[in-house]
Amino acid sequence: MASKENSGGFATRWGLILAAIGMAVGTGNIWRFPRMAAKMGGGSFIIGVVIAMILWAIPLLIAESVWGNKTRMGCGGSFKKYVGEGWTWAGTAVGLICAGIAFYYAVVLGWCVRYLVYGIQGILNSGDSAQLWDTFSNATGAAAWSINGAAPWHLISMVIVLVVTLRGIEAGIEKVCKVLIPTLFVLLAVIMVRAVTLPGATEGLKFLFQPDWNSMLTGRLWIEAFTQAAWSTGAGWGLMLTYFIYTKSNEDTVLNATTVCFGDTSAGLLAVMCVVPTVFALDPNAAEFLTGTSNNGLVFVHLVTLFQQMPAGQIIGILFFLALTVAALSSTFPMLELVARFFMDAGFPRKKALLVGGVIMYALGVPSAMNINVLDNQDWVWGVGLLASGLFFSLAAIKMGVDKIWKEDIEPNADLKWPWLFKLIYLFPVWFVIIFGWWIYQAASWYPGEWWKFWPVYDFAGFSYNYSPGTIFFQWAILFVVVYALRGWLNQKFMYQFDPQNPEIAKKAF
Amino acid sequence: MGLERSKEVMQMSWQMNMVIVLLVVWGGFALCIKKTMSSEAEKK
Repeated sequence: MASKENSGGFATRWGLILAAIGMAVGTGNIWRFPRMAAKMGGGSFIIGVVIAMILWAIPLLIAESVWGNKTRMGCGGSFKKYVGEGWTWAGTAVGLICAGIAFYYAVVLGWCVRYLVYGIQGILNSGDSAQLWDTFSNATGAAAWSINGAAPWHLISMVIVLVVTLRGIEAGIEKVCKVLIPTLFVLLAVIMVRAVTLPGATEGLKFLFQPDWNSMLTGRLWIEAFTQAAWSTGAGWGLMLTYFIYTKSNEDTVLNATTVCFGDTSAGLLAVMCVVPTVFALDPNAAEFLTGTSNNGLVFVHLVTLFQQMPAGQIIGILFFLALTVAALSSTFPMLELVARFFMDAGFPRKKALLVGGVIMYALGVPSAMNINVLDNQDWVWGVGLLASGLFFSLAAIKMGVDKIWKEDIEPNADLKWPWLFKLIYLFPVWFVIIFGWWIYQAASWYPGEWWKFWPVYDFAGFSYNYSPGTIFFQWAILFVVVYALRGWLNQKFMYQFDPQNPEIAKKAF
Repeated sequence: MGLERSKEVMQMSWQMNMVIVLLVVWGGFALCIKKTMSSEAEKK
């Protein structure tokens, strides 16, 4: 049971840590990490990710934890209360960027659930996996609502997430994550054992771990390592902030953030050792296969084909999609909680806020469920937007005084008294300029002479600008102009905080 | 013989590299868990 001091929040530290690891470990660990590790030099890339995690993710996660724990308010409200009313719009933007991801991420969860059911039905055992994926992912209009389209699975997924979160933090999210996250690690470990014992799998391990320390001297490895650390750990998303609203007032932030980052990378490494040896054991063009495919293509097409050729492939396939579903599900809980927190901070009771947040999250995810180009575009725009979210946290911390925050709000409860780990947040603006600059430069090269085209999905000629820099600037501009214009109204609305004594009803914070 | 030996050295090399990576990542995670357990025990 939760202590009296925190009756509506996380009952135990382990519950918090498991939920936070669940937040960080998502589909990206399973489908992006193995591809990038194979592409960027295996072991040296993974070491690069660990270093990037320390330099980028841990300081941000500590900052988020402090914001949530000290204010007990969501993104907008916590910036208002902790940093000042002039920053409410920035905090709101952080929350809305993550909400932009949440809307389509629930659709991705739906894909995972559908493929798990396909696996149980035995549909993945034979047949053309590319055709299956094409039919499923390209179903639009009424076809999207059929059992072989994405829309019904999106709805089922949102209902599951809503049912769990409505049960509360302790009885819902904490209880479920205490089962899901150890299960996820066990599943990945079982699949890894099967993968590395396949005949020929050693070639995959060799490919991954052949020392190539020279690659650590290349800029590209570091750009990709920082990007992986940023997108994988959830640093700057506002999700850690959301979970820390519900922690005890004397909760540690430094060790918890470090544990979450190492847990996230550990799960990623397990996934790498599941996927790469399997591909090498079963595909003669393994290296090309791994580096030339997309995230969706790797998981929903190529791996499905490989499972068909593998002894006990049906069981391994079911376990794999179960792991993917668990990873996606445990990342969607805090996303709904983050969206609902906007309403709780405005005075809505918890259940009403979750229902309103759930309906909005579902409704704004429907376009992504109906058209995969919309999903790809939103993934690009708000995925890169997370870098801006991190920048807001770092600038706010620098404005507040990094030393002051450390001494007053972190050190007294820290189990790791390493101020340098938090002070690395000073470097964040430098990382932002390099990484954001790289992505925009690279995206501009994908659309020579047309990088500025901002219409997100299709123009009249049917050409798509899903990934153009123009679409990023256009959608970001709308977001930032709107939240800045509404800053006075937002300041009036965000007046309530979580009350551990009465978790259902928010209490006045000002 | 020389070729065999150099192949052996190469194999040792990627295996050693794998051990380093696993130690850093999984070892780091294990240390974090251990530290959390000990600090929770101290608090009790």
